[in-house]
Amino acid sequence: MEKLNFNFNKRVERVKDYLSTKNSIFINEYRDDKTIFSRLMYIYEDTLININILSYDENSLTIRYIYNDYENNNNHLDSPSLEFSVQEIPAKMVHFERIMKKSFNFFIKMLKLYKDKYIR
Amino acid sequence: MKVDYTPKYDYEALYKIIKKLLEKRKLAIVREEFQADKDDYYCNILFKLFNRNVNIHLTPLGEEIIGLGYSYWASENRVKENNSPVIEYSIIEIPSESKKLEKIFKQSFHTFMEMIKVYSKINKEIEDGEVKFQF
Repeated sequence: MEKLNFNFNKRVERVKDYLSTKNSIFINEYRDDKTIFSRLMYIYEDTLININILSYDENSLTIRYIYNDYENNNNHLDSPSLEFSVQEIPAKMVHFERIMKKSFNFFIKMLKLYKDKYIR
Repeated sequence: MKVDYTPKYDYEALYKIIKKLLEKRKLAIVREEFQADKDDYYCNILFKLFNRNVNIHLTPLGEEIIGLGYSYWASENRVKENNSPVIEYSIIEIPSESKKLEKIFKQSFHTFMEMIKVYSKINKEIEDGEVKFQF
């Protein structure tokens, strides 16, 4: 396990806290402490999304939001995936929280655009 | 990308189709990387879209299927790399017929373009030709 200069679990909990204030339902979490990785699965407004949080280096993190069409429609053929991530976010909580909120809201905007215009 | 199967389709021909479709749209190609060895396949074309560097990738996902992906890396468009956003859009498991790929390209390219437009609107990273950090 990489030695981090911040508490990874606290950052993951902060993401969960924020999502709990949104119109979202927590489904499950997959955690790998060895690689310092957390995958949170949520239903956001009837859409299944994944949020991956991982360490970038000992002082920063990456957060990645993913929508997989096949997870929502069970159709793998020609299946679109939409991802938005922000890499190397400084771990300082106030900074992490600001970027996490901003990036989540941008991902939701992108997802809405996609669903409104292109969903099969 | 290392694979343990041999695509039954002409990977290079599909790459040329994508390149031709980009050229048809008069998009400036900045860099091309293509590799088709026995077990190692890779294709990435870096091109300009709305004055930004974006990538398109063609990935063999099986003997008869491919994946088409687009990505925008803010780090490829500015010096500062902290808080660096990445937008990715991909279509997986595309049957390898060229007509099918062309159809998927036309749809997915439009979708990706819309995503970049939304991103550009929210994050004015480039103003008056100068790269500015906003995210």
